[in-house]
Amino acid sequence: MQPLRIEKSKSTPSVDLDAETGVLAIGGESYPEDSHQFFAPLVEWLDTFLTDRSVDVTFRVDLAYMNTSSTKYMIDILDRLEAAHDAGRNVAVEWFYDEDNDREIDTIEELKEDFEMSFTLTAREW
Amino acid sequence: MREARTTDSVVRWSEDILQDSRFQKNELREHFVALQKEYKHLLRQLDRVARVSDGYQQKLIERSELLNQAAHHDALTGLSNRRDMVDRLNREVHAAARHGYTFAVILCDVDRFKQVNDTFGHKAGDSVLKEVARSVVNTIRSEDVCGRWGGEEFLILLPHTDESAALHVAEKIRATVEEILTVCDGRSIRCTLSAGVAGYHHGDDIDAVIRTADTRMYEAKQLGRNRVGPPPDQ
Repeated sequence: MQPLRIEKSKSTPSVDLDAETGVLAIGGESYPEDSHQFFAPLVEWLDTFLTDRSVDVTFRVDLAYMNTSSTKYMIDILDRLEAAHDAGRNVAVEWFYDEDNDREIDTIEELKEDFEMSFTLTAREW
Repeated sequence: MREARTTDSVVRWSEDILQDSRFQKNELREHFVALQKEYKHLLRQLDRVARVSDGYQQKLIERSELLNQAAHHDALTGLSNRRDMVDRLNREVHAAARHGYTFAVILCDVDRFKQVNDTFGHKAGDSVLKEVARSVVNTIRSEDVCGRWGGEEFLILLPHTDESAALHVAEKIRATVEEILTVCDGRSIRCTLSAGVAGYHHGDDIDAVIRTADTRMYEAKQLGRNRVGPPPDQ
């Protein structure tokens, strides 16, 4: 299965989904003009990966900013990973946050509570 | 997992239908229950997306506040920057014209500041400017505004104040700054400032008023520094 790699642009994050290592990384800022166009291939890749492969999954999220439609897709991805976790897969979410921003920490802490899979919050290093 | 807090009419309506005695043994009941569950799930997703998104939008708001702060303030002293002072002066001119009052400006310049920089270094110079800024702000009244006008120049806008009252304020500032001891890297630095005062009267050109304050400040320097212009006999 081919990895999915997308270079970061001004309004879209970098993406590095590697089926061999199971590391799925997304980083930067996300406010695409067309979120569906950007995220649909990621979700499609993820669905194939979760079906075809059984390797442990690390989902590494380092987004300094995301808009509302990106948030929807990120939660879709988390829900798919949670379903894989429920089915017995080893899944770890590593979410990076901006230490200066209390609101961001609170937001992700609250989101984390919705999931049973491993979900760690780490301060972003600049 | 948390239920979405909802005022949703569809949920309430569907609850009513499930309660209805005619619907208790309906063959479609289980489909209806499944549909209601799916609908509640969607509501919960919407709620979740909204809450996470709110958190990130708040970040944007904070960033924009920071940018706004940076656009109007001097990074070193935290005072209004020159651009902000120009805006304030123009607003004051309009307000003074409309309501028929006067205001005054004080232009201050730290004496022999170049010498401070050359002798003690730029870091010490910056500390002196910060100290002076702090004392000026503590000395002026709450409705007065002090801004950093240039390198070592500060401009103070005094609304509803005539020239002679502004002279008193300027003298108070001069006397306060004279007493400051800035300590930087174990060395104590004393400094003074010279100030020029000018009053604005209806119809004046604000640039001319600032120029007058500037001229008086330089006259004060020429008379030996650490003083306020115009002198009392003028």
